[in-house]
Amino acid sequence: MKHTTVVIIGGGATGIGILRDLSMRGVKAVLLEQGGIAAGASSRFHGLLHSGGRYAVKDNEAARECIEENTILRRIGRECVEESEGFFVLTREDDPSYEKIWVDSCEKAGISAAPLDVKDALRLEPNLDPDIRAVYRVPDSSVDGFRLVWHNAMSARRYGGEMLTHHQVIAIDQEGGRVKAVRARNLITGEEVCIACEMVVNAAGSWAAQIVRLVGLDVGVQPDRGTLIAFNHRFTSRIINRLHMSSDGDIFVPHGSITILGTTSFKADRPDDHHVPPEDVLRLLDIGEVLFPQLRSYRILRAFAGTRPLYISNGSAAGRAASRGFHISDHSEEGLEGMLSIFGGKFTTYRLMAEKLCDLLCSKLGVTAKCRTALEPLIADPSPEVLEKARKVFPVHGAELAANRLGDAFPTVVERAEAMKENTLLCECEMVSRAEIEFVANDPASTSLTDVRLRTRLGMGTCQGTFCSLRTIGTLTECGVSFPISPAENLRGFLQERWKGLRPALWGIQAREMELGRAVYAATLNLDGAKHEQEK
Amino acid sequence: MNRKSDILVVGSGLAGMTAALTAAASGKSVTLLCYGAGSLSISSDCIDVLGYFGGERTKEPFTVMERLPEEHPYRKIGTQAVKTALEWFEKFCAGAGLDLHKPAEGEGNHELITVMGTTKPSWLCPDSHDAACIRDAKHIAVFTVENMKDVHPRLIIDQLKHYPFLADKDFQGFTLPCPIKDARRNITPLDIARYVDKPDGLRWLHENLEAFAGKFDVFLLPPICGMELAQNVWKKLSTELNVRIVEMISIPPAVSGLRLYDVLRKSLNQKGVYLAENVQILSADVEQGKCRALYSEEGQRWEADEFVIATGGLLSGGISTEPGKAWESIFHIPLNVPADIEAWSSPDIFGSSLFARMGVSVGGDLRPLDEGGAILLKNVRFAGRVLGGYDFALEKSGHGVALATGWLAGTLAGKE
Amino acid sequence: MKHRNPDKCVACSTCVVQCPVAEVTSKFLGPRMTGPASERFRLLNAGEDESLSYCANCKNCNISCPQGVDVANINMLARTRYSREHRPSFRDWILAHGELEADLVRFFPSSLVNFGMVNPLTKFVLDAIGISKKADLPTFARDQFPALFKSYRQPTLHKKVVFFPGCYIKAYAPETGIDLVWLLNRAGYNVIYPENFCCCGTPLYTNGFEKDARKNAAVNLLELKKWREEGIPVLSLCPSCQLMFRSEIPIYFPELAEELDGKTALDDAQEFILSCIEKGELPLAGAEQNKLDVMYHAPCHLRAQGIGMPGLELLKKLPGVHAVNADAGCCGISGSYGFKKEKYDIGMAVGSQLFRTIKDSGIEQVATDCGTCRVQIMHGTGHPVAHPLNILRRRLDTTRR
Repeated sequence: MKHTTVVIIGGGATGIGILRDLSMRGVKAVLLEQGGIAAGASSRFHGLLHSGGRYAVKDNEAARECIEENTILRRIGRECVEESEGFFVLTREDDPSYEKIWVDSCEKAGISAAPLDVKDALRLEPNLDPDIRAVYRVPDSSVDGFRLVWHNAMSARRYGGEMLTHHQVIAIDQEGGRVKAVRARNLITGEEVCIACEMVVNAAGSWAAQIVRLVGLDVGVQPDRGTLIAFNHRFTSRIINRLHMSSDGDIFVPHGSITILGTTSFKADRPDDHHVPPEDVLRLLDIGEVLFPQLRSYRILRAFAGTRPLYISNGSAAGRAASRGFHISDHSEEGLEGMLSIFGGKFTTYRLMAEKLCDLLCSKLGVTAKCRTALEPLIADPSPEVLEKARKVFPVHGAELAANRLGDAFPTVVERAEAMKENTLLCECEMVSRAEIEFVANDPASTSLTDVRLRTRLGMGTCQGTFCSLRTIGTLTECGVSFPISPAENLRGFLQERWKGLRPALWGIQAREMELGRAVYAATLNLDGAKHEQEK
Repeated sequence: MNRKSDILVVGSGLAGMTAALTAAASGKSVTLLCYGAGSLSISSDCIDVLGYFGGERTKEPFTVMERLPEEHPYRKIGTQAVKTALEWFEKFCAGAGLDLHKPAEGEGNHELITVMGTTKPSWLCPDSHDAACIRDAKHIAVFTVENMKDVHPRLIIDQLKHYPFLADKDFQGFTLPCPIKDARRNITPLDIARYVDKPDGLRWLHENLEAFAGKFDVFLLPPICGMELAQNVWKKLSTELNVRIVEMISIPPAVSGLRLYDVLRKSLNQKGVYLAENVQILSADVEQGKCRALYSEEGQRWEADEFVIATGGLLSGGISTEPGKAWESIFHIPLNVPADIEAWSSPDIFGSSLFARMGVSVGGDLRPLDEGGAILLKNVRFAGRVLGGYDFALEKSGHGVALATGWLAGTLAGKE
Repeated sequence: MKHRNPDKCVACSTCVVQCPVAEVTSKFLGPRMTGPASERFRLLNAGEDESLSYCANCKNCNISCPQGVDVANINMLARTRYSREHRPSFRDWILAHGELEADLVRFFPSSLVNFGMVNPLTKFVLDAIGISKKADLPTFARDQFPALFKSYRQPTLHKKVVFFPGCYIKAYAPETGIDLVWLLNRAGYNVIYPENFCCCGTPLYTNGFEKDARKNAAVNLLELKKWREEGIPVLSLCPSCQLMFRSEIPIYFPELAEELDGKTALDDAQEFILSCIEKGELPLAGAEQNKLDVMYHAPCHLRAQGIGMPGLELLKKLPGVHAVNADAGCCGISGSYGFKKEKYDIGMAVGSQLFRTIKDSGIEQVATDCGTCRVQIMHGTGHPVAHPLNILRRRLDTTRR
C-alpha cells in the first residue's frame, strides 16, 4: 500500500496542473491516468491559446480570464506557445453589425483588438479570401497542448509530484463517510495498486462522471465531440477566427509545420468516442473555405476528434461559478468528505482552474502555502551553450524543435546525441532524431510507438509514419529499448492509429500517400500476412 | 506541336515499360510518355504474381487464379496469358543481363525475406533474393551497415524467430563499418549498392564479409550487392566466400527495383522506343469511340493509332479521387464508388478496402467497358494499377498484374 | 503561384533515387529533404541548411517525380530567399553575368580574350575566386552572333520567324545560330533577331541574383508579347532558356507571366524545323547520304520540358545518319555548377556515366542541343560534339561539302 496526501485522477491539463500546483505548495500528491499523459481532450483540440476574443460577447468574464491566463502562459510556457497572434476576420458571409458589439466587448474584457487594413492583412496572410471585409489583430497564440501538459508534468516531478500512467481507477475506498484510498489497475501489466490518501481530486474530464459514479453519486457531464482537421502545411502564419458568434469550423491555428482547422460540436455517446464521420470533415471544409478559398486544394494529413466535458449543472450546483465555464464540486455537500471534482473549463484557463481547486483543497487540509504556478516558468530556457552544442549534433532543423519539445530533458538528450557516432534523423518529415526518440522511448511513461509519437511528433508529418515507423522500431529494438508488445504488434498498432485519422479524408493526395503506405507495409514488408504466420 | 507514332504508351512503371517493349517488337514506332519515373524504381525486381488468396498464402499462383473474382485482371485476361507473359519476361530479363527465375517445377512460390523480419511469397526473383536456403541452414548471420537506418539485425532476428520454422535457428546480427565517410545524410542500401559496383566497393564488401565465411550457412544482407553489376557481384561473393548470400527486400529507396528499372529503360532505348519525359497528359481527343490523340498541354498533341494507358492507380495519378467521386484521369471514365467516403475503406488498415480495388473495368483484350459491358474506346487498352478489381497490396500481385497486362496490351496494340 | 505549397510530395523517395548529385556525394541531403521536406519548415522560418547549395538545378527530381512536384524549383526559390539576406560571392556574380562579360569582351579580339582565359595566370586567378582550374571554360567566338547576323544576307522571304539566341549562341556558338537561320531561310522563312532580347535569367536566378533575373524576364516578356501580337513565332535553340520561359518564369515571377496569361513558352526551333520537314517546306532529298553514326545526349533541361527530343528526331530523319540516344543521365555541368571549384569533381562524377557510355559506344560524333553540355562532354570525353542543326546543315548545304 502506497501513502500520499492527495490522489488526483486524470492526466489532462487540469489534473497535471493540479499536481504541479500542489507539489509547488509542498503537498504530497500522486496522479493516476488511465492512458498516457494528455491523451484526452488536452491533446485533441485546435491548440488555440485564447486571447478571449472568442468569448468576449457571449461570456465577458470568461474572456477576461482567458486574456489573463493567456498572458501568464506566454510567460511561463514559452516553449509550448507560438506567439503567432490572431486575426478576427469579418467575411462576406458574416453579419457586419456584430463587429461593433465585438469590439466593445473586447475593450470591456481588456483584450487588445486593433483594426488592420484589409490590404495589409492580405499581405500578411496572402491565402485569405481577398473579399474579406474587416480584420482585427488580437493576442491569440498557438499552444501545443500535449507539450504544455508534459512541461507541467516535468515541473511537478521536479517538486516531487508523482504520476502513474496507464493506471485505471477501479475503486475509491471510503470509511465513515470519508475517502480512504484509491485503487487502480495497471492496464499494461494487470497489477493492482492501492494508494491511501486524505483527499481525492477528480479531474477526469469527459470521464469525470464515471469516477463520481464509483462513489455512488451522480453528476451531469456530457461528452461533446469536436472534429478537427490537420493540414500538411502552414498556409497561415496567424490564428484566423471568424468575426461572428462562435460556431463550427471557424478557427484555423498554425502549429509548427501544420495547420489545424476546428471544430465541430456534436453530442457524443461515450467520453472516448473519437470516431470521425466524414461528413464532419466535409462540413469543416465547407465552412473553412469561406476564409481560405483554396482550402480544398490543401492536403489533409488527418482528421481527429476529441470530447469536451460539458458540465450540465444540476440543482445543487446551480448558478455557482457557472459563468466561468468550469465548476468545482465539493462532494461533502452530498455526504462524502475528502473528494473534490472539477468539471468543464477550457484549456486556456487550466492553470486558473487548478489554482482555484487547490485553494479549496488546501483550506481543507489546513495548508497555507499560496499558489505559485503563475510565477515560475514551467521549464528553464535552454542555455545558449547547450543550443550551440545541439546544432552540431541534431540534423537539419532539429535542434530548436527538439529543445522546445524536450524541455527539461533537452541537455540530457544533447549529451546523448553527442555520445552517439551518428544522431540519425529517423523522422524526416518532422525532423526527429534518434537521440530524442531513444530518450522518450526509455521513459517509463512510453509504452508504445504511439506514446513516442505524441511526445516527439514522430510520424505526424507528410508520410504519416510510412517511412519512419520501421526505422524507429528497428532502431529501438537494436539499442535494446523494449516495449510490452512485440515490434510487429507495435508497428501495426502505430499504423492502425494513423489509419484511423486518414480514413475520413481518404481522397486526393492523402489517398496517394495511403496507397504508398500499403505498398510499403503490405506489398513489400508483408506485415499483414505475417500477422497470421508469426507466432505471438 | 504534333507528334506522331504508331503506338503511344502512357506511363513509365512496369506495366508501361513492358507494353512499350512488346509493342516495339511488332516493328511499329512506339512512343513512351513518362510523367515521373514510375514506382518501379523505388520497388523491387521480384515479380509477385499472387502470394495470397482470401487471406491465405498460395502455394503457387496459377491453380487459384481460376477462383479469383471475375473482375480480377487475371480472370479477365486468363491464366494462359499470365503464364505466357511471365515466360516472355523471364527470357527478356535473361537477355538483358538480369536473371530472374521461377521456382523449380513442383515447388511453390519463392520465399523472400524483408528488412522487417517477415517472409513474403514471390514468383520470379533473382537468385540473390531467393531465401529458400534458410530452411536448411543452422547458422545465419544478419548484416547491416553502420548508419543504415532502415536495416536492423536485432529487429529482423526477433521477427524471424516468430516463425515456427525459424524459431530454433542460430541467428547472429552484425554491423559492417560504413565505407562512406563524412556523410551529411544517412546511408541507404542504394548508396552502398552503388559503391559496391566499383572495384573499391567490392573489395570492401568482400573483406568485411570474409571474417564470417565458414562460420555461417547463410548471410542475410541488405540489398547492397551492386547495381549494374549486381548479378556478377552476388555470384562472385557467393563463390569466393562459399556461402549462400540472400539480399533482403527493403523499403524505398529500395535497390532491386531500380536494377530492373535500369534494365528496362536500357532495353527500351535499344529497341528504339522514343521516350518523352515529364509529359503530363491532360486530355484526349476522342471521336466516335476512337482516340486520335492525347494532349499534354495546349497545342502539344501526341497522335497515334493505338494507345496503351498505364498511368498507375491512386498513388501515381491514373485514378483521381474527390470526396465521393473517383474517375480515370485521362478519359474521365467514371468509376462506380459509393458517395460515403467511409465505405471506401475498412476500419482495419490491412482489411479488405474498396479503394484498393478501384480502377477501370476492361474486357479480356484490356479495352475499357462501360457499365453495360460495351467497349468505350476501340483503340485504347489499359494496363497495370489503373485497372480495377484487385488489391496488389494484400494479394502481393502488383508486379504480376502490371507485367501480364502490360505484356498483353503491348502485344495486342502491336497486332492492330 | 500564390504561395509555396509543398503538399504534393508524398515522400516516396523517387527523386532521391534519380538525383545525380545525391548519387555521387553524401554532402547533399537529397532533393526530397532539401526541397519539400524542408519547405514545411521554411514556412515556419526555420534556418537554411548548407546542403541547399549542392542542388545543381538539373531538374532530374522534377523529371522523375511521379507526383509532379517541382522539387528543384522549391530549392531555387529557397536559394533566392537566402540570397536576399546573404550576398552571393563574387565568383557567383561572375558566373551569373556571362552576358555582361560577353558584351565587354566583344571589343577585344577573341584570340586575345581566349588566351587571357586559358593561360595559367588567369586560371590561377579564377581558381582563387572559386572557378575550378581543372574546368574547360567555353571559348568566345571570334565574332559574336549579333555581328555575324548583321552581316548575313538573307534572301527576301514573306514568312517570318523571330529568333531568341540566348547567351551561349550569342557569345560562344554563333555558327549554330547562323545554321538555324540558313535552314529557316531554306524552308522559306525570314529570320528576325530583335536585339532587345537579353539573357533569359537562368544563370542569374540559380546563382541568387533574383532582381537581375526579374529585370531580364520583364524585358524579354515585353518583347515576346510584341511578337505574339504580330503573330510571329519566337524560336529558341537553348534548352535552358526555353525552360526558363516555359516553366520557370511562371513560378518565379508569376506577376510577370500573368501579362501573357501564363503562356510564356518560346517555340522550340527544332520542333519548328521538324514541322517544316513534315509540311514539305524543307525537303531532305538532296541531303548528303554518307553513313554517319551519332550519339545523341538529351540535355536535362530539355527532358524537363515535356516535349520529347526534337533534336534526336531530326537526326533520325537524315538519310545515312544512324543516331542513338545515349540515355545516360546528366552530363554534370548544369549551367555553371560544374565550373565551380567545390563542385567540379561532383560534376565530373555525375557525368562519368555519360562519358563512359560515349567512349564505350565506339561512336565518334556526339550531338547535343545544349551549349554547356557540349563543353562538358568535350571536356569529359575528348569527342567532337555538335548541335544537331550543325549536322543537319552540313548535310544539306552543298557548298559546305
